[in-house]
Amino acid sequence: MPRLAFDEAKALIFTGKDVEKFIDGLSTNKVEFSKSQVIDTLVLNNKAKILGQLHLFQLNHMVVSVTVADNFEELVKYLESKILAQEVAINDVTSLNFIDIVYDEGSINKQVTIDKDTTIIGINGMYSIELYSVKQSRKHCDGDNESFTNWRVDNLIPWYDYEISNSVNPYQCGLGYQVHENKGCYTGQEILTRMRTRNKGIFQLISRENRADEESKPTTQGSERSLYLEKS
Amino acid sequence: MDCGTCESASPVVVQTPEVVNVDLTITENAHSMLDQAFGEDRSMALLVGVLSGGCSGYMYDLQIVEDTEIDCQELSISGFRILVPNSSSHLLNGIEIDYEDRLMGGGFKINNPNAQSSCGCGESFA
Repeated sequence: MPRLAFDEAKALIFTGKDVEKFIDGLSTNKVEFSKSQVIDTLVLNNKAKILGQLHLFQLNHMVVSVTVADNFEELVKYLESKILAQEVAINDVTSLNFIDIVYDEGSINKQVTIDKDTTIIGINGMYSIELYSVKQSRKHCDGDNESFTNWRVDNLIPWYDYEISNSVNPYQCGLGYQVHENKGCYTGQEILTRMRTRNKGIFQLISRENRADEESKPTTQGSERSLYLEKS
Repeated sequence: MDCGTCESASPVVVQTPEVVNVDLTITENAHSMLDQAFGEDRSMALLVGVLSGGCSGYMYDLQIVEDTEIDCQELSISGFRILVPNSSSHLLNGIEIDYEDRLMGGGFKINNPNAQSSCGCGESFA
């Protein structure tokens, strides 16, 4: 199972009795923590563009978020500005941890497991993110970007700086599955609901063989196949 | 993982918004409605707060309360006790509380000069 350093990711810790309500009110997916479950959700701006993706799980009295954002400082500032009188504290513990991706391991549970000093979280049943203290030595990262890209193309996984950025909404980058259609209001919800009900502007991620005469530009170029976002 | 909660970790920093002295107004319509709601008893207060969430990021929260544990500033406007949480005072300074008498979408409305945008129902703002 190849391993890659996931240095774009940050580790945030949320503490306080209002954390669940706080994150649920600001993000696209239903946030109800249950033991060992991982929740993938997105924080959007007023125009429904992605500010950041949070992979959340509960660990003892805390909620941990493996977070990826185009502009992490902007995301944290945004979250902090929404705390107001709620009992929520946010702490960045990225510098205390290594964060790796382990991929190509077949179907995995969307669960949290703790193996010795490593916390392993399953993302969308497709790959794992591992967190472990920088007090340990970094595990050998034997994966390479090319094989990871080809694996992503084969498994239709959108990625940061390729499909996902702060200039697209979830339906424009293949992350529509992280939008809960029946939850209450959150920032950007009106726009997404309008897109869904009018079936307008929704894109689908597809994988196609590379062809020399291909007119449309792939979002991720693989060695034999590539990812494209096409209107559904 | 290292969650930083051990003794060697630096303490969690909680950002607190700037507290401003709130100035707000109540329209005649809102005044009449509050008169009906409170009756003769002016010991109760109208709590005007803001919660995170909603379509635009913040939601108004109006409650009639006797007292609250929230750290608030108390205003007396037209004989009404108005409580404004200090944590959201920067978002509520200068607001006008109005009441719209309509069958659909009626009720108390907040006209907020600090809002850059509001959602369709008027309950949420950014």
